[in-house]
Amino acid sequence: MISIKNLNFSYDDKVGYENFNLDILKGETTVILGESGEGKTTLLKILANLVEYKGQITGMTYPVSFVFQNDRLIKNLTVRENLQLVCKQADISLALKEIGLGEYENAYINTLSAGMKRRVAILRALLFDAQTYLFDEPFINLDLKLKYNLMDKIKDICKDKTVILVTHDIKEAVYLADRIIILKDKKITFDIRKQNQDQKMLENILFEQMIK
Amino acid sequence: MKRIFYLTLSLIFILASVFASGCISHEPKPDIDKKSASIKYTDAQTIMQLLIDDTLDFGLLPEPAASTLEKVKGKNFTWTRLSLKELYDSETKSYPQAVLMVKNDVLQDYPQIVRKMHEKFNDNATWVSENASLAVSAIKTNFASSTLNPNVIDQTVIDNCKISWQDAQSAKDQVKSYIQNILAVNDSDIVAPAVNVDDDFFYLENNFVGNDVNGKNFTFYAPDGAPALSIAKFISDGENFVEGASFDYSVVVADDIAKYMNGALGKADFIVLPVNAASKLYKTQKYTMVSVLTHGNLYIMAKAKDGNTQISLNDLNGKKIGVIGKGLVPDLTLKAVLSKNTFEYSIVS
Amino acid sequence: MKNKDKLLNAILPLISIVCIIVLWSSVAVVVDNSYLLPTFSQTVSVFFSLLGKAEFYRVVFGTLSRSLIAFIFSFSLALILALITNRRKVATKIVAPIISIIRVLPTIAVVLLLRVWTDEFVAPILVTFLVVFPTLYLSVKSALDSVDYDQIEMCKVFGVSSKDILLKVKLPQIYPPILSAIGAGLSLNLKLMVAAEVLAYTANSLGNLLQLSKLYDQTATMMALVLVTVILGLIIEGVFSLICKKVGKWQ
Repeated sequence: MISIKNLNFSYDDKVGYENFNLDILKGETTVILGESGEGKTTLLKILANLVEYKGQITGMTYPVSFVFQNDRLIKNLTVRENLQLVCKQADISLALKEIGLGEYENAYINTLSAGMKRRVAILRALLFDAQTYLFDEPFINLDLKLKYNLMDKIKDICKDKTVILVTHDIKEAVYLADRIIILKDKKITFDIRKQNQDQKMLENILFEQMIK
Repeated sequence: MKRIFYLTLSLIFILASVFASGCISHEPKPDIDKKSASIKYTDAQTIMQLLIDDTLDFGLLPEPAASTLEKVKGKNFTWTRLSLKELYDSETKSYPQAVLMVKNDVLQDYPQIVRKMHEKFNDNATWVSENASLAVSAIKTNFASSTLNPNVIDQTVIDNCKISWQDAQSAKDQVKSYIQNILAVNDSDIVAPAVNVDDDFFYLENNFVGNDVNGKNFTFYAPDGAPALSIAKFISDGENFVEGASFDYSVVVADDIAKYMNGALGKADFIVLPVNAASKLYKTQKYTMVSVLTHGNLYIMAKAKDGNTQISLNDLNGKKIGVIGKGLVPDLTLKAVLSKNTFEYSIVS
Repeated sequence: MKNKDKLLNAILPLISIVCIIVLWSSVAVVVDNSYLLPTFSQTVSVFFSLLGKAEFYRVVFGTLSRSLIAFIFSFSLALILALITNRRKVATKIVAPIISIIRVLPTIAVVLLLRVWTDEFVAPILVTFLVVFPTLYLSVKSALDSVDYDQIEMCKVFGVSSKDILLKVKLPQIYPPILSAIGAGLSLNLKLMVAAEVLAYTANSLGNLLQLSKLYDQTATMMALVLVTVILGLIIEGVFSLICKKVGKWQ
């Protein structure tokens, strides 16, 4: 289990995390839902050990795999080189074909559309061998068909891995998560485990909780 | 990785400095059997200062700087001088400095003006010599930007310029030989201070009376300095030489005198030029030389210690001399004199 | 690129050069004075005669090697200082006012001062250094500062080695703006060096030869030497833009 205890983190001028606690079960997908600016990205960065914080975090294994909100692909490298930089062992050609980018293997990143870049970024994270996967609003710029394609891929590859995904999209949360947490004002306001509820009903509950 | 990077950079920096300092010019060792002198180029003020504080043993100065230096008194020294023009030519004791050039068509149509100028010139020269301060103020009142200093220009200074009208034909040999001498010390294949002139450079008097000037206006340009002084009376009187003609005089910055010969800035009908510049431009600009107006007056100055006022050129052996006007007539004439007296010379910084 | 575009790209610059030459020649005909404005053919003929003279190559070598020395100084110091100020913000605050002062120094006055304080070999090198160094420093610093730290952060998360971060991420971002700064710096360098040589009376220099040409009323030689300087500058810039294109092929 990943345990966050007494997390204190302050921004320059905004209210930060104060004595925040959260336990996350390993091997399952936890989705953190919330509007923009709620600090979800910061939480992921703290988990990835990218920012300094006060408090205790136990159970994290490094390195983690991360999908950032901005693609963070290296412009002067090709798609293949970007993936190779991070995932040295993987079969890149095959993986690219599976997400429909086979013919772009040797293209430079800046020739790709926004959606294609996003797919490469996600692929990079999936091909990287880690125990924990952190996704920060991963499905921006993707149309529905591609989004669901990738969500299925994530489900498949990360079956027994720990996934912590941050989004503001309720449908994504319901589709992917084993557990959904709603974050508001740096506090957990709702916490539900997906069992056998009707998908639509769950979405409605979450919607109401979010707009409260 | 970073350390190696920084180290490499510092190494490059150090190597570059070493290379640079190694390349900085150093004084060549003098050959004991040959006579040699080293030349340091700088301006007149600095030369005077370096002579006063003994950093330099010799300095080449024009008048009036030479006379100004002599006024600096010291406890155990006076000043002594060697006249460069005597060294250049012990017989004529002169070398040509400024010449009067006239536009070819003006010369062709109105030779009577030149005859009149010749006629009136010696009176003009005498007047200038005897009325030094009036001559200077004549220039300065009409041409405020002139650098002539009335406080230092006196009769001696003017006499040393040997202002006179030496007509073209009688000056021919001297001018040709002077040009040859300065060309001989030119060490560049690309630029030359002068060009050997043909006989057509020198005006040959003829009998043609000349056309009627009929109210025509003529322009007369002279460079600031001694050449301007040489026509001071003409300027002061507003001399027009022949009836019906009118003359406009201009005294201009010496460095740029040549641009007034032709073209946009003023087509000078009469222009006074340094002889070497004249040799280069007369053909293309279509001018002819009618006379030498001034002769060079440069002096090798030195401190005379313990009353030892006799110096000769040989005293320069192994010494440094400060020289003004790199590439100009003073520099070239000195080199010509040194060469003639089997001196080698080198430039030092 | 289409063949028509390629053809246009080659021809248009040539046309503009031809226009300049035609304009020059027309004005020369009107002025009709080879001292004031030599004709294009007079200048070109002097230019070619220069190419046959040993003295010319000595002079060009002198100027170019002095330019190179000055440039190596400028660039090394610029790089070192930019690296330091990139790391430590404190250093930026110390360096910034010095750079500002150096930038506004009046070049000609500096040459004349240095002529008194140093010799005619060092003075033009120092002057050129003083003008080019601040420009290079600011360009290099801006290149270093504009490295995308998001990418570095990403690399750190995924455990990419420092060597890979330097070689594959940082350097390729830094190379193109630095190279183009070098290209601009080099031609500025040359221009300044020639000007400083004129004022400092440096022996074996293009500047000195230019000055003597003026002194000796050889206007065609002056213009041919200006042409030489322009051609040298263009070659330097051309070579550099080729290098930049090769290096920045991903852009």
